Formats: sequence, C-alpha cells, structure tokens
Amino acid sequence: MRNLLIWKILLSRQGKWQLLIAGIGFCIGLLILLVAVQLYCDLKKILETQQNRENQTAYLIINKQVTLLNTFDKSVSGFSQSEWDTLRKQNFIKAAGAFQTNQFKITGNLTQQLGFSTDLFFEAIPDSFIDNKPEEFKWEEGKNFIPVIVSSEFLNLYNFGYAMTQGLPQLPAAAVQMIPFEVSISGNGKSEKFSAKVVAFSDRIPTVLVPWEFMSWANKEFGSGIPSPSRLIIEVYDAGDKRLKKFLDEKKYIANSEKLRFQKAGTVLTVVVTIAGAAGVLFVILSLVIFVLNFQLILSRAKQEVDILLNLGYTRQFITRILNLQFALIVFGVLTVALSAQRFGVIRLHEYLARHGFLLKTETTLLLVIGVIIALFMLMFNSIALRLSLR
Amino acid sequence: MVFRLENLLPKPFEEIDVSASHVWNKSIGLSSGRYICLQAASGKGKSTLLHILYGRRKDYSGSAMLDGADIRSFSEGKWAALRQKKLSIVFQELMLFSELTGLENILLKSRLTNYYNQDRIFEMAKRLNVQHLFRKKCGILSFGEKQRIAILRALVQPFEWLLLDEPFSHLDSENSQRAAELILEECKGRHAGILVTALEHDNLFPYHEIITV
Repeated sequence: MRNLLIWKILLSRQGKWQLLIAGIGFCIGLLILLVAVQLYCDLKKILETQQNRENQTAYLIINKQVTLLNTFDKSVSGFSQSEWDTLRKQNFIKAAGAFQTNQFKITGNLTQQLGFSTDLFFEAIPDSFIDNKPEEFKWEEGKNFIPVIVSSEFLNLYNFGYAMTQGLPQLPAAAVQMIPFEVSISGNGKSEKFSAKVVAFSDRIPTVLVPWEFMSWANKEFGSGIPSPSRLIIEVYDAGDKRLKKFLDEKKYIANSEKLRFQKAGTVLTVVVTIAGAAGVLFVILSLVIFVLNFQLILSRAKQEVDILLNLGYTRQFITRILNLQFALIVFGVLTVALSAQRFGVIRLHEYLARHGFLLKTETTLLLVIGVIIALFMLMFNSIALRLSLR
Repeated sequence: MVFRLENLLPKPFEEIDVSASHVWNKSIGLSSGRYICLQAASGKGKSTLLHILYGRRKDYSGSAMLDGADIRSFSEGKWAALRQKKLSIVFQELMLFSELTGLENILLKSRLTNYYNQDRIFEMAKRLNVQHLFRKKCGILSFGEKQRIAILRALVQPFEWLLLDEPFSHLDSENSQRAAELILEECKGRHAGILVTALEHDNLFPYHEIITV
C-alpha cells in the first residue's frame, strides 16, 4: 500500500515516453541477442553434424593443379609411383584409390532414343570408394552389357542447363535408368559394340563410372595399358585434420572438399551472427543508458517529493528500493516478451529447417540464463546509479 | 527525551543582535512531557529552531543535543527512526502531496508504524471535521483544510515530542479549539511534549513554559 503511494508520487514525475522508448529498445536488443545466441547454437550444431557426417565418410578427390604445363604435356598431371607411395604412407589417410581413365575412343549412340550420338569418356575407381553401388554394377570378360554410374550433377546439368535451353525433355533419374544405349569402343585397330545403361547416380564421384574390371580389360585391349592416374580418391579419418591440409598445400594438390566449403560458409555465418549479437548487446546497453538517465531524471524532478518522504521518516534506501522494484517489473516484463517472441520465431524457423533435414534443439535453459543474467546486470547497474544520484 | 541547546545560533542570525532571544546563543533545556510555546514576531527563527530540532537544517553554530548526543552526528537512518517513532511535526508549509488524497497523505505516514488503524483515523478526522475531504486530492483543498490533514498526519504515529509550526494559522477559533483538544488528548496519551510556535500569546494549550525566541 505505501509502496503504491510512493509509486504514485514518483511516477507522476515520470517521462512515460522515455520509458516506452527505452523499453522497446531493450526488447529489440534482447530479441536480437537471444536470436543470435540461438542461431549460433544452431550453426554450431549444423557444423558439428556436418563434421560428423564427413568424419564417417571423409572422401576427397585430389588432383594436381592444372597449369599451362599440363595443357601441353599430360604426363605432368599424373601421379608418379613415388608420389603415390608418399601419399599412402600418410597416417591421416585411411585409403587411397586411383581414377583410371580410358585410353581409347568411346562413342555413345542414342540414335534410336534421342536421335544423337556423341563421344564419351569413362573413368573407373575401385568399388570400395563408390557411394551408391548397385548389385548390377559389375563386369566380367565376355559380357556385352556395361553398367554405368553417372554423377547426379550431370543429370542436373542436363535437366536444368541443357534441356531447358535447347527445348529438350527433362528426364527424371528413373527414366534415365530405363534408357539403354549403345557404346562403341575402338583403338589399336580394333572396335567393339556394347550395350550400356545408367544403373545409378553418385553424389560423391563427379564423373562417368564403369566397373574397374571393364576399364582395365578395355585399356589393355584397345589402349596402351593402364595409365598413371591423374586423379585420386582418398578416404581420410578427418577431413578437418590440419596435417591433411598442410600436406595438400605442400604438394600443391587440389581437393574437392565439401566440408572445407561448408566450414568457410560456417565461418562467414558465424561472423554475421556474432555481429548481429553485438548489435543486440549495443541495443541493450543503449536502452540501459536511457533507463538509468530516465530514473535519474525522475529523481531530480521529484527532489521535493523525496525531501518530504525523508521528512516523514522514509529512507533513501527505501525510495531506491521502490524505484528498483519498478525497474525490475519493466525489465522482467520485457524479458518475458522477448523470450516468448524469440521462442515463437525460433520454433517456426526450426520447423522450416526440419523440413530441410536439420533437426535442431531450441535452447531454453541457456537463453533463460542469458536473459536473467542481463536483467540482473541491468538491475544492479540501475540500483548503483540510483544510489549515487540520491546521495 | 530532552533537547539541550548550547549557544545555538543559525548562520543567518550571526550578524543580528539576538540578545533579546531566550534561545539563540543561550543554554536551554527542553524536557519531553512539557508543553512549550515558542513565541516571537515573524523572522525571529521559530521555524528555524523546529527545523534544526527535526534535523532538517544543519547551518548553525553551537550545538543541539538530544539525550546527550549531538544531533548533528545522527545518520539518515537514525533520523528516519526518530521521525517514525519519537518526533512528529506539523510544518508551517504543511508538506502534503498535492496529487494524493487527504487519506492517502495520512496513510503514507501511518503505514510506517501502523500505530492506528483506519477506523481510528476516521474517528479523529470526524473530530476535525475533515472526513469528507479524505477522497479529495490535497491539491484542491483550502489551506485551512490542508492544515487539518497535516495535523492528523502528525498524530497517527508514536512520538515523544510533537513539533507544531503555527499549526492553526488558517483555522477559525472553533476549528483551532477542536484541533488543540485532539492534539492535547493524543499527547497526554503518549506522555509527549508539545513544542508549538506562535506569533502572539494564546491559550490553546496549558503551557508549562513560554519562551521568547
């Protein structure tokens, strides 16, 4: 009751606009900060998940840098036996396999189906490196059918690049797998026809794959034997390993690491989120300054009232406590609003991300703790400022 | 509670001849339970004396002691405790909150000690004929009405000394009489002393002492 009376006396001196503006500023700042913290946690989680995913199947395809030298002398881009040995000795590399390219001419014939034929290239890698190997992806001498695995990127390139612009029909993966085509290979004065079909699409290997056995046989039969590989696929324990990066840099090998790209994006995003968080902190600080100034203004406007209260037997501590109580109500009210708004937004965001395969946890305790710490800090700061200005 | 004043002289009176005063630059004692009238013409420092005794002014030389302790040394907390339980005052300028109602002004004081309940406060208000003002904001009351609210406010707490600074200046004789009767009853009940300032002699209280300031 007496608290209410004192409020009535002091609050009649209050700049309601200042308080409202400071309250809104505080709410926005807190909201930005809390969202930034949540996003930071989300990012960390996504990066970790990605890292784990990479850790399980950390496959990198490496090749030498293409320079003008390679343009004129293809042997420069090949890996020599000693390079190959050095690579395999590194203890952060679990396994390594070579890409075997064709040393003969290949023509794909789709005359009956699509009305065109084209020169092709094939590559082969040991089976254990293939991510999506169906049962039928095998070959033995004497068989006329060649199973082919194509990079899913090629299909995307065709569907969204080529077909769109050339007025050709778009092809779903299943349809492509139903179309058989004819392959002619020739070399060493011999030629032979095979039937072929795409049996799978690979996300990992960006090429046209045929079984290793077929490639080895065909290179001997139609080409000049098995060439030194110009691309390698390696399986590593941890794609984020610093020794790996150092090794690749030293040897001037180039790796296609999705993870490296992902981490770069992650770093950029982390920086953005941190800047947003800093903006949030700035807002909170500015609103705190407005709050403190406002309360000091109240006290200086209410000098006479404070004087009367002291003469009635009230103490400065008591008056400060009343103002602190009012501030606490504002701060915790705003905190509740900001936390609810943040939660509402984050739950929507997480629902959206869940539809894209990211299952994320909404941080409740952490955000609550951060919010309460900020609130307590503001109360403490204001309390000290009030005590100083009442002295 | 005994006030003892030794060579007390407010700063503004330093250049003025105060030899006629029985307070300034003299040694006097004021014992509680006694009814004392501080009488003087305007500008002689009656209010100043009350303000010094109530701890509102410190611009004086000499000393004012309360039960042997120099009141200059009292902390804010000590003054707050005294003002809640030992000293009560009616200021000449009343010091009411104009945005609060009559009742709220009284409750603001009453809630510090809860000495009287609300029924008792209403009873006292009836005697001063101000109960109908309880719901009105003090800002719109006449000075005489405010004076009675301020007197009530001073009476709703425990005290050993009641300081009254020209408390009836805006009251007619009938209302002054009623107020003085109530004040006297309350002081008797508490065995408290009265220190009242007046411009000229009056018979509102059975004074033990009249001191010329």
